[in-house]
Amino acid sequence: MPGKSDVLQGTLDLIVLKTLDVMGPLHGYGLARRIEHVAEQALALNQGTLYPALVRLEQRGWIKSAWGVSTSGRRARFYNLTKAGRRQLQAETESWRKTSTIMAKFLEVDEA
Amino acid sequence: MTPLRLLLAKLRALVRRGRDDAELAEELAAHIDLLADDLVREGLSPQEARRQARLRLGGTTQVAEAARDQRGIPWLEHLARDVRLAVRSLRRSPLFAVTAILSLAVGVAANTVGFAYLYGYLIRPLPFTDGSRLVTVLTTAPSRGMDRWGVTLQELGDIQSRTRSFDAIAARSVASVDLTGSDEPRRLMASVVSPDLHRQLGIRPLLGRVFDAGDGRGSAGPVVFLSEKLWRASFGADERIAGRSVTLNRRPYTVVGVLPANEGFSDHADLWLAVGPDEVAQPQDQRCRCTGTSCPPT
Repeated sequence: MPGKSDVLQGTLDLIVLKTLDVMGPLHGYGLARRIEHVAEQALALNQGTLYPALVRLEQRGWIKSAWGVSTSGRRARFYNLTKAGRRQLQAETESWRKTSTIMAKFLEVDEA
Repeated sequence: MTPLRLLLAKLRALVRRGRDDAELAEELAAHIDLLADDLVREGLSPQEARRQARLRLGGTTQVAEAARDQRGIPWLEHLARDVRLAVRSLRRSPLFAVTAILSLAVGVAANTVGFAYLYGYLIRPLPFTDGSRLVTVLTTAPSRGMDRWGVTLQELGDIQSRTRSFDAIAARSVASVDLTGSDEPRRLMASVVSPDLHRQLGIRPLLGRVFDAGDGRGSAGPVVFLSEKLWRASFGADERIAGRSVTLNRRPYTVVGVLPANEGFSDHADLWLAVGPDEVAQPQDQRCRCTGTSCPPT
């Protein structure tokens, strides 16, 4: 798929945490749709890769899940951010900002 | 988030794997349903919508596999699977299994024995001071056809006074002595040694002291030290044994100390006497075994 970036290892966790923070509880498909919507086709998300990420985040205690019913009336598993997850989101956002600032500086030097 | 908590979560996942797998399957089915519904709304036929949905998810089996690896401890599960497979295939051909297991057992045993001997004889350092410099000193007498002969006390004195090859040199031999004075006389095996042997080897007594260079020269009277075994068996492990007198070959000897059982040099002796001109228990054999500490290479 030309023009689309693969999801960088490690960024998917941050994307999921941020999406849950903004949107509140979501099921896996809802998450995938929301991420694709925000990325505006710039991201090649293999929707299946969300599920290992969700397992990872839940085992670390950053999200928790419960079975519920979707708006269309189907049974689905909903994920929600925990307190620890919110703290983790803050920490990761901070570290990501630092990294991107540093990278931006280097890339500017290269262009000048 | 602690690593311990993560480990617990993973162990829990190993136990409730069946339920987690079922829940994930249901979750993925819901995902495909919801995605397909949306695709139908966009105008696809129901069959095409489901096909597309499966494609977009990336294969239910692959996703379930990846999630399972994430959930548990993959190498442990793979190992368990390999072991089960191995056990099953071995059971199918018992003759091969027995042959393989026996060959392994023999191989492992041979290696263990081989290493144990090599270690004992070649690798493990001697538990003595300058163990790597210890040598056995022998004399030869070609005219009598003897190429490995012991050393007489006379020769030992000559070597001691004139050697440039040894830092220290000491002899030992054995003699029998009679212990009397307690309940019942006993015949004991004595190790008759150069007074400085134990200091040369750095062997420490359990209590009291080992011989000094002066012992055996007569001035302080004859002295003896005991093996731990004899001390326990005949002297009731008396802590104040040092300084007491015992009767050996009807002569009084002062006990100076006790040597620990695992001292590693002469395991069979019951007691030690200092070789010297006044010693009544002269070596049985005129020739002694002689141990030297060679000078360090310069």
